[in-house]
Amino acid sequence: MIERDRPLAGRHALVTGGASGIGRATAQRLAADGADVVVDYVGDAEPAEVLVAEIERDGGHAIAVEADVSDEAQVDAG
Amino acid sequence: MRSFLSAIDGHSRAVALSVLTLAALGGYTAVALSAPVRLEQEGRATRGALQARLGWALRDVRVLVDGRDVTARVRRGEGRLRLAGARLGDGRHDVRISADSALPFGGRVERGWSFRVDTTAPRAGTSAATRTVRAARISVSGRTEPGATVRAAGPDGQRARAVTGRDGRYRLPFRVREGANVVRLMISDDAGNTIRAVRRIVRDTRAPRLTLATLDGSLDTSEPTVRGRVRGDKGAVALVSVDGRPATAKPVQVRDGSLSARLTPLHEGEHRLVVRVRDRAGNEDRVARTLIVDSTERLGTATIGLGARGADASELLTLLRRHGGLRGGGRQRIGPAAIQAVKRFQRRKGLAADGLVGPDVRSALLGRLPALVDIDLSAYTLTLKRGGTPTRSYPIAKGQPRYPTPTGALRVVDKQVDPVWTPPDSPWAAELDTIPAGPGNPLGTRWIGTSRTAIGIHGTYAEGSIGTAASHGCIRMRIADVEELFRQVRVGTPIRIHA
Repeated sequence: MIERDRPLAGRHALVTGGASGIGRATAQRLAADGADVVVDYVGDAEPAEVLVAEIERDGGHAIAVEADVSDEAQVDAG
Repeated sequence: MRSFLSAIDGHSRAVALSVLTLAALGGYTAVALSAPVRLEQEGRATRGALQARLGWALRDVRVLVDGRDVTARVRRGEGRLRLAGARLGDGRHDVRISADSALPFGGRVERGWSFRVDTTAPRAGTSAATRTVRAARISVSGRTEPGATVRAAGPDGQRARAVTGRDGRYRLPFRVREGANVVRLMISDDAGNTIRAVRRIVRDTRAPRLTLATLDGSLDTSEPTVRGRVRGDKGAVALVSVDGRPATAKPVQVRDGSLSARLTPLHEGEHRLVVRVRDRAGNEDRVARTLIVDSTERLGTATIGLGARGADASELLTLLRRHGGLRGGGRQRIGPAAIQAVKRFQRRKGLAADGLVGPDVRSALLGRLPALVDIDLSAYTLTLKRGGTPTRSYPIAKGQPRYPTPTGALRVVDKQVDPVWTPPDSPWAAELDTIPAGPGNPLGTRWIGTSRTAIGIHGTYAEGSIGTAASHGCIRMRIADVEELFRQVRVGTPIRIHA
């Protein structure tokens, strides 16, 4: 039942540009399907954190991460 | 991914020295300090540089850090002393600087002080998980280093600032809007190490809306399942109670807006069902219904309580009128008067007066009724009935086709414990002798003789024959079964044998 309703349970998804527009909708859909979503954003953290809050309110798991994927150093950072 | 993730909770590590003590310098001698003395950050370890301003006309300068002579690593220039690569860890350190003054009457001077290295970012305190609340006014709180400065930016441009006391705790008030709110924290300790954190708060003042699937009619099961739809909230839980008590082992999670809760067994009758759904913020919706559980039409299998109806309820009402002191009380439904009669009956019998008709009340009610032994030859079954109600059934063996068990209305005429087998006056037994009681006796341990000569109900050690046509006309039963039946019948108890 859980497997059928949440086909992505236990999987992770990185959504670049996840804070708005298509990325936002994609992140919400992935979270609804059970994936743990990393919402990647550049610049303003607020929309990404709001999205994380909404996903968590609905019982999903997500974190917001700032990284510009066009910059290799930021992707490798840490 | 791991390194990527560690970057997010990464702390900005400022490295600073705070000078705690600075000896007052007397006369014209000079070891002055540039304060605060800063260590440069280089990677994770404290490989910093220690600087001190030097006075003039000093020679033979020696520098000790934590008692270790580091003079060789010290460089001097432009009136400053600089120690590179001190590799100081977090904690308290001592530095001592001594030098000879070249001036008249100068002599040797020595100065020392201690300082603290703190390269560790303060903790942000409390988890970063999203909080769901109903109130408009909330506070963001946590625990970090004592003396840290907490700056916070909330929704609608709200800002707050606090300095933690000795316990390191902070609490900042904010107003939150319906929906998702983000409060961003910047926490700096007194050494200048800073960490950023986010608190997410969802304000939810709308209750979920619950609709229950059809449940208003009678349920023909004693373990009903409550089904419903929940709109307006994901992640709500349902609390189901029946007659004021929880009816599920734990709260039921609502999944994809649908609720399905299997209830603990309920006795037959009327019940008050209350389903509450509660969202994460604590908003609730509540639906109450009256349930009628009707699990069976035969008295003797289900526990019966207030509100039960059906054939078994009618039968119980008749029994209560006859033997339980019930007057009136209707014909169809177990009402309050019947329950009062049950309670009085229970008290009289020394039973717990809970008003429920379970196995104990049933057998006490039925035990007063005349017994009837009903033998169904085609089903190989003997049933003991009381007042027309079956109380026990046993498997039997019957007569072979050549010696069929007779049918008709008989009576118990004879009861014997540990009978002796005597050959009957029949052609098949002509050559046989008497067999004493004990293992191997064809009558087992009990004999219930009937009004038909040579036909009785008895035990058998040949249990394999039960369920077959094996005897010379008698009814054979298992040893334990016949001993139980023996106690229930008297001489005169009617026996009805039919095909």
